[in-house]
Amino acid sequence: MNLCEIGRELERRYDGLVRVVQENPDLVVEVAREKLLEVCRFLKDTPDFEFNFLIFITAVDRVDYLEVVYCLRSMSNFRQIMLKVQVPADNPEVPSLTGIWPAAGFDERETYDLLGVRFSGHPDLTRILLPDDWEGHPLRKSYPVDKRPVRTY
Amino acid sequence: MQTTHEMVVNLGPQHPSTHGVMKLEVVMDGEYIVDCKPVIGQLHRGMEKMAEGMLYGQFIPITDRLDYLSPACNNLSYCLAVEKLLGIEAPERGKYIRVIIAEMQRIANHLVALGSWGLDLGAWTILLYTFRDREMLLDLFEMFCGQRMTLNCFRVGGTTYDLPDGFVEKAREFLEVIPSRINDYEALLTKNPIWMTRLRDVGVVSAEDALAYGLTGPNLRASGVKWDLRKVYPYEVYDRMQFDVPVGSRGDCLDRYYVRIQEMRQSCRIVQQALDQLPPGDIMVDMPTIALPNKEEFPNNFPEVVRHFHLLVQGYAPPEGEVYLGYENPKGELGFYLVSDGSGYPYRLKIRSPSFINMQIFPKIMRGAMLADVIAILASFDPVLGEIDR
Amino acid sequence: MALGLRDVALVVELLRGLGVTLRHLFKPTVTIHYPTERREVYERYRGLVRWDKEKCAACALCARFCPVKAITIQTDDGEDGKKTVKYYQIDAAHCMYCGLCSEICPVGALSHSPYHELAAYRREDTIYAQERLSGAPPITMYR
Repeated sequence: MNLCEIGRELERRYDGLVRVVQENPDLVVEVAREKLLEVCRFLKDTPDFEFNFLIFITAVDRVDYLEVVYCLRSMSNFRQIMLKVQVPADNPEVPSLTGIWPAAGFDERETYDLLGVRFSGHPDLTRILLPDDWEGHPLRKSYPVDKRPVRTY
Repeated sequence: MQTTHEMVVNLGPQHPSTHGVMKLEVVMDGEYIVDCKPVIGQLHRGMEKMAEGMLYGQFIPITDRLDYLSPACNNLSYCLAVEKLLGIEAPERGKYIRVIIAEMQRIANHLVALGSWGLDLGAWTILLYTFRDREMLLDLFEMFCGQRMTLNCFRVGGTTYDLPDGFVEKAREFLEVIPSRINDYEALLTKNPIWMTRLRDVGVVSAEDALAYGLTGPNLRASGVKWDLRKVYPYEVYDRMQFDVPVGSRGDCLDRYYVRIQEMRQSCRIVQQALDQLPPGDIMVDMPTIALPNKEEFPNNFPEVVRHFHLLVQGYAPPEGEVYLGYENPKGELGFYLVSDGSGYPYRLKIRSPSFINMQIFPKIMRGAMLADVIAILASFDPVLGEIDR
Repeated sequence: MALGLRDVALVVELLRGLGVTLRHLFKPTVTIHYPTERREVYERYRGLVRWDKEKCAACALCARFCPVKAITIQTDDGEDGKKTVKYYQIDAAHCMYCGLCSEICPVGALSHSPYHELAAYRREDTIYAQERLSGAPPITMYR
């Protein structure tokens, strides 16, 4: 099974909830928010897929909405796949993957810190790179780049 | 009734053993560790945000500051990611030069890792010896690109400079010297009773844990997982090189030490082969949309001047899309996730830095260890804070 | 206390390590006494940036491309319609010596000198402007 077939297999299995958005150079699959955990478990545990390694989690601010990106790798079949979940910009919330891959912990904290995506079910969702009292999420496109935060001590 | 209290010990942020400005909040029960929480971010520079306001070519010197002990590998990783986005490949000679410099950088990085590790555990001599040998590598880098630490020597589509005269000979001299030097380090450390006692069965990471927590690089291989991106996805010319992937068996600090030592020897082999096979030819890809024009033609070739300005003001616009490319950095898998919206600036750039993800496993493996082991474990993971905080 | 085989092995290993350090005792020194002795830098060394006013075409490409915006340039329209440079400065404290400016300069007005001892007591001294940017680099005051 090559990468494109994986994408089509996923589309067939989760009809209408999974959509292949890019095949070259990397396979990118868009997943509905409520199916994320199920798709991840399926990709991890099914013998032909075996995406057992979580490479990174991040998010992209598309102004109207946010995209949470998950990159998975199959170490036995030498493949990688990217999953994308669209979430609304005013209420970005996705289920946490820490139960499946403990490696998600720091990346989810970082995504929360820099982009404001909340991961429900994360054991310790606090800011990681910025101070706890920081205001705003710097990697949002609406965050001003030419201003310094006003600190009142 | 006797009651005891747990105590919180702050290691850092300026502790000399913390490899940078990192703070570890360690909860202690007597001499034993109950919990450990890495507090990071003191070196955060917002590189990912900076990248959104920079042309693709402008970001290369910034990647030097990620893992400042292996800048050439960072440059290479970033250039490969952009090349994947653009769908181009560097010419043969450029690839060989990149591999030579990147593998030398790997040796230099492991030398610092080893030296500072020894220093953390009280072995001062090894630091002096490794830094002496790293000096030879830094001289070679200076000869090649003019800088010793922050190289900025690769470009998208090739390298900045060709190898200077005398570089190959000097590199061969280095390759003749270094194996005996590595033997010296091994004589000093490998079977040294103090070194063994401090490291054996300390900070054991099982293969399942290593995969679940996303460890990469020498730390993953020390746990017995044979995974090296240079073998799995042979980018550049690694498929023509013969080298072994050293793996450990127990996954303790001693294995991580041993894997690094072996990797240095393997890197020497790769550099040796690359120097032998080095072909003549171009170092920069021959594409007018990417490579800068030759400056000597400028006085009588006006269209080239226009192209020069166009490339530097608007940059090259990759097609819309997103790529992720992971590269086997000395510390683990350094990856760049690039989202392009078709303009000359990256829409989003995410750096998957190995030290950051490797650090997650600290609380798990430090529970039950002693305070003195914290330093040994920390040093064995070889974190660099420039990369963790970005 | 009787000595076992293990203790003997440990002592042998320790002595082996000490042998390495002992051997190094009779090797020539590799360090140099820095302020009095100096090493020569290589030809491509990227030190303080030098600027040649005669060659400069006032295109401001360097100021635009510099990743850390260490270069400031003010241009003026000359009498014959050609642009001239009114003011040029490089903030050596911001400059990260990446070499991009000298690489991209279309007329070769920028170059790197081997000069790298840039410590100064006052911040103004780290700003190199106009005359200080060309010719021989200033001499360190701490020799």
